[in-house]
Amino acid sequence: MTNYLNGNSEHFVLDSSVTLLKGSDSLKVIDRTVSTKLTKMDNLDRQSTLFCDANGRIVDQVSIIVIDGQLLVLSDKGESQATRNKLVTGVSWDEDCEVLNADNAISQIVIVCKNPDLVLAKFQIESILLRNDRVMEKEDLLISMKKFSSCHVIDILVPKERCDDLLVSLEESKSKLGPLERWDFLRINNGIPSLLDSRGKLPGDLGMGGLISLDKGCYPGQEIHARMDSRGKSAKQMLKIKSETKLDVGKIVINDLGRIFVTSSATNGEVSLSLAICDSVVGDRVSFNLPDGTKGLAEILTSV
Amino acid sequence: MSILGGEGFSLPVVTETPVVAVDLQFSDSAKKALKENMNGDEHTHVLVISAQSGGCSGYLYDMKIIEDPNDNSFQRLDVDGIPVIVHNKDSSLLSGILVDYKDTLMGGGFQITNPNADRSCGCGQSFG
Repeated sequence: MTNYLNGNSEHFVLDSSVTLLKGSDSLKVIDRTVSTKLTKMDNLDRQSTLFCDANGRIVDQVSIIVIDGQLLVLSDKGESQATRNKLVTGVSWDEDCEVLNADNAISQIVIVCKNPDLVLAKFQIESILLRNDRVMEKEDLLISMKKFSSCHVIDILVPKERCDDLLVSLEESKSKLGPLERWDFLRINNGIPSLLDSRGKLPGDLGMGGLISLDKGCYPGQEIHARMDSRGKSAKQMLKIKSETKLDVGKIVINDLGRIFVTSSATNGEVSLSLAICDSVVGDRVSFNLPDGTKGLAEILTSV
Repeated sequence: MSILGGEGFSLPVVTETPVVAVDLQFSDSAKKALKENMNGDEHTHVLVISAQSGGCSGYLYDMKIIEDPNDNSFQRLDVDGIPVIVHNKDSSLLSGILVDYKDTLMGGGFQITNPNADRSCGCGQSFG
């Protein structure tokens, strides 16, 4: 797979929302509300999970990190207020859990790179020690990394007041700072869905079944998820589409693919990449012609 | 220094919750079961009924017999001599509920019917 990177590494300051949950009952409070079992998380564990509505549809996708008995919750900026309110109103009168807005305290930087060690050498970190399901604490940074087929995505949480210093260090490591449109392009290339793609959708339709713990008991949406699981594989599939022209977000009908719903789309000026949900399974890779005569290629994303 | 040691964290987020005067209904079977569970401790203990996040529909009911907290953030009711309290933050969610008791082996125990709920879970423990 092409990685479309300019040089070894590009980095981005994400516009994500950060919430801190303090108190001995924090994990219990958030565990009751999300789709994934969190109660076994240890210090420095990192877990992605979903907030769903009673109809099982995704309302927020978050990443949770346990640090010193407290929880950092990374989520989409647009939904942060609603998610915080949901957490605050859900705390019982006798529970010890405070919800703090950490948007002005912590920044999230992602680095997309071919060779992570070239970027990490400056921080005296070996990439082999980094994982996706745990963060490494290096001074006041929290670092994790996920490997994709053509690149690595390193995620760094940094105190806001240290963000500029970190950006300078990354530039010195020959990494290029890019705009969020560029991050959108690279995340789509690696099949990383954002809330743009998942909001209002059922997790199974996006290949997000791994974020559903059917053995954890009740949470909002659990009845729907359990029923869908008992019916077998979802009829829908998440696709990554590469095309010469940029697809508009929304429903379109394409010969050979049928009806698809494009959830996000980005271009690098030469190639356009989109994530879309297809109503029916058509094959692992399908070439097609768009109505304007240009060509496209759709690949099924098995899990995201 | 830890990432949590920096500046910029807000004060704890609070939400404005309407406080209403709580009205609770108990069926005869619920009153009887409550008296049995209180076991004569009603001078020192109270039944607290509360709501918390979770369950299939968004909120879960919780009922506990606890030592009287003597805290004025709770509203106090007298149900046939048994003190029952509801926290002000839960008042708008719980006012008007009917508490019943079913003496069955399967699915028995206290059951709550809530007129404020748009939906409730099949097991009856969750509402939204």
